[in-house]
Amino acid sequence: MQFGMHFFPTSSPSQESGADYWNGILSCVDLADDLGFSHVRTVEHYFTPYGGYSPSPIAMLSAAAMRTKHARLITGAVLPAFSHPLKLASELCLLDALSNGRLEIGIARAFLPLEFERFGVSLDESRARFNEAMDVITRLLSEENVAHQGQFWKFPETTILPRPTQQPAPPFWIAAVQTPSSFEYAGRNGYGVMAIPFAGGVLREYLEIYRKAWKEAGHRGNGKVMLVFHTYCAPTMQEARATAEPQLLDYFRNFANAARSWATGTSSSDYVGYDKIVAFLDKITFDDQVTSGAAWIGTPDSIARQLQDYYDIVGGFDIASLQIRFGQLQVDKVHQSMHLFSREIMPRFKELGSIVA
Amino acid sequence: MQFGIQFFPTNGPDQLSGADFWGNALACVDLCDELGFSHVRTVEHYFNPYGGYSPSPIAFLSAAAMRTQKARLVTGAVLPIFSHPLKVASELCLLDALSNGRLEAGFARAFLPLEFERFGVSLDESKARFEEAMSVITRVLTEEDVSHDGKFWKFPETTVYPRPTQSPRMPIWIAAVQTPESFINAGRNGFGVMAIPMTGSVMNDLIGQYRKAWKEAGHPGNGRVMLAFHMYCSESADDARSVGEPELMDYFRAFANAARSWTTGTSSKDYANYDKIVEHLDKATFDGQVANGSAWIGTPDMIAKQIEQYQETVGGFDIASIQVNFGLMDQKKAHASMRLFANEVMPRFT
Repeated sequence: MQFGMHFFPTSSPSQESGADYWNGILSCVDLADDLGFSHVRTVEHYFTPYGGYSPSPIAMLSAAAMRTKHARLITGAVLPAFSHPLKLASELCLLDALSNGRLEIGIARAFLPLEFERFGVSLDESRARFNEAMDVITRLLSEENVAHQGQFWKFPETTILPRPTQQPAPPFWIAAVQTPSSFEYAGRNGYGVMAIPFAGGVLREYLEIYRKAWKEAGHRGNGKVMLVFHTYCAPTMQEARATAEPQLLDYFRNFANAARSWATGTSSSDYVGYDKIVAFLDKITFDDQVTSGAAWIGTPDSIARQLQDYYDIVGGFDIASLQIRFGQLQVDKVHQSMHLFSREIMPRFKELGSIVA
Repeated sequence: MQFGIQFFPTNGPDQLSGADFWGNALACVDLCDELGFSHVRTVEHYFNPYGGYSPSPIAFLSAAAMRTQKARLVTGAVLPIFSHPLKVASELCLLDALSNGRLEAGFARAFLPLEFERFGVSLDESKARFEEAMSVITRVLTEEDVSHDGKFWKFPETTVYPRPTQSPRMPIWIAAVQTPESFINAGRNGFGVMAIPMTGSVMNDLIGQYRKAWKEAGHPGNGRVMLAFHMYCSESADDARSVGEPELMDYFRAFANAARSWTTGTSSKDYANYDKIVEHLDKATFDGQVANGSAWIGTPDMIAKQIEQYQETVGGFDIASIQVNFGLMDQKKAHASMRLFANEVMPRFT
């Protein structure tokens, strides 16, 4: 199994500045190669503390590429709905070049009404835009002189530059939450899937859809699944809990606030069930998250047990993307957590997953 | 006077890969602070060897920020009309944060028809879009809860994140080519102006109008003018020419190819005289560029003289943004040129 680091800022200006936040994160990135974290990843979000400090995963990962030599750089994820696929594809190739071929492209539909509203994009066009953008971007990365006439974009023969460093193209990951067709799409097309650890039983079903579609399309292997986990590792459970619980709840509070319009009237046929998400988020407790295995917070032994249990319940996954600094966790404590995780947990799980570390 | 380094790729995939081009650029960036160059800068272009390897100045400069501690990071320039102003403003703030407050944000209107065509933006809307984008961007950088209802964009109360690191915001520069109006507007708004070295007397007039508008608007100081130059410095005049000439001509060839449609029919009210500008640059020669001081290629003494003369002719400019490793020149020579320039030319002017 591979373990990477994922950064999802929820800081607001009254808590810490952008410079302070990112300085702290980059100090964690500095440890990635030495401690065996296999990737660096971040989000794309705007306008609120929920991810807003990270409006450009491509820019942040360009910086991270300078602080690592081995770690993969994963956009988790770019949002084509708010850009132009020609611009996005070109920028992805630039990052692939800057990183000497270490980019992995995670791509998502976006889901926050507050973002759609400000970019002037309709929620009801989300799926159609995503599908057209995926079609365009995959072609632009692997072919030259691509012409396109679509519903949302059109352009004459175009070759984006620079050409990708990885051939034929960097690997793709589709971000999928809870819409079965997203999992099916990823599997059918041979892309990895990046998901979030819902109650294990529910996610298991989605992953089965993914792996079934993967096999039926004739792709070799079993697919690639990357899941995100809040992670904080400490010598005692007491310390882990005391340090991490308020920060974990802070993360979910920010999530609920940003997503709130789903529960107060906004709806879209492209986002079935999203109204339920907010109710779920509002009721989250630290204990739920730990018990369900979604938040790996505890001692090396307790986390190792969580990992194995979750792995078994969900039917296996390949890469764990660890949110090692969530809320306002103190950065020096995060470093200690990273060292402990690297030393005491990583070595136990080398054989797990279909991608052997 | 300050001297910064600039990267403007003009190669295609059969000449240099993206990884090699940017690896070369970063190796030059590694020398930046040590040698006293005051900034790192790059362009935004697409789809064509003329600048196309650099679709995101913000991404490259985020990387360059990690390889420097002191140098400013200059977007030369962001093209807001191919993006959304809220996205542009947010990304600039991210770079300001990543660099601990070293961003200088330069903006330009874009001018290549081949780019407009592919992004589906009309050349004739270029000015109006740019003005609306700049109005939005300057507001959201300094204010919170900004709402906007314009011709091209509208949004309810919005606060861009992260907030700028520099207070009240990062410095803003406008790229201006030849219309007095764009120089005057930049001065009036208190923005720096980034330009290309036209013939000295033309520049003198334009810079004069810029500084006049600056003062009349009551801004402290004299404004800031940044001009871009190719530079190759060698102990030997022969080496300077033999290395610099083919690479310089390659740059103009790439430019002419990319801008060709301006001379073969494309026209727009927002781009008066672009056919003439392109024709003029198409006829550029190495000797002409050296003689008029646009290309600093020679020995330290020769270059120092060029700088002196150019400064005198244009009535003084503040920052030189120099391409130090342009075309396909040998990178060891580029580094030697940077060192020679830093040691034997810069001290005469800083």
